[in-house]
Amino acid sequence: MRREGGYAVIFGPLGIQKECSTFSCAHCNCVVHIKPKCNLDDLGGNCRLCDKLICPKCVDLGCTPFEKKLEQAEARDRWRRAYG
Amino acid sequence: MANFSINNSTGSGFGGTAQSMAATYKTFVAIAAGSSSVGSGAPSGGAASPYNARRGKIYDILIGTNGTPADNFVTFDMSRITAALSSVAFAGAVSSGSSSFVLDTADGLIQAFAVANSTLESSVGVSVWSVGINQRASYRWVAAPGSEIVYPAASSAGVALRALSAAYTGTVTGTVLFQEQ
Repeated sequence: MRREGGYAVIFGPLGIQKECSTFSCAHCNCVVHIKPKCNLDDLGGNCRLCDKLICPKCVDLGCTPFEKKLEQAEARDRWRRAYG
Repeated sequence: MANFSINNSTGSGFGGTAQSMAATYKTFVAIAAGSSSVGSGAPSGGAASPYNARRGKIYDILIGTNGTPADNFVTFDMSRITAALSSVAFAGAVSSGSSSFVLDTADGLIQAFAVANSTLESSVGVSVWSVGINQRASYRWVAAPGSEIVYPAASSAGVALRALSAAYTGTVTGTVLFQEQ
């Protein structure tokens, strides 16, 4: 995979048993393991608005980049602290 | 940006005793942005309060088991913590050992709320990482820069590394490397 988002490896008693690339969903930040030669539809999809890979759960849910969700959570927290 | 490492090894000198696995999830490492007040949320890791919470990025996870080898299935999971944490929700906060976590001793103390081998479970949110492996196996995940598991700089927001097994009743091991922004 080009520009993979991570690497996962399972070590068994006899050495490396399985290794695969991963990517992090651009909308919910969850880690998706990419099975070799799997159907691309099973991985999720590519958001046409933010042009990033997304997980199966986020397909058809609209585009809200995870960075925006982080900023919203932090803004809520600042507000809560400011008003006690 | 300081990098930290936390694990649930009792030999590290922090955290509680490793908890035996069961058919329900057991949290063995939890990391969350602390708050300035223990009463209103998670206590800080080691920095003086009040302070501003920091965003955290988990970039490396290593897991395994340390019981008698057998062929059982163990599910590991990292889920978001969204509810307010306290020492009641997760027992085993390791603030006193926070200087043990830093990878570069020139960096400051951890500001996150960290827990190892919690004896209590708290409500968790969305699962962001999950893997099921044989009890004999171990697993490592490394994030590429920009693809880390991120928790916001908001009080009590964080992640919990958990495990469950219906058959394996021993203990599990886990190491989490993360960065505070």
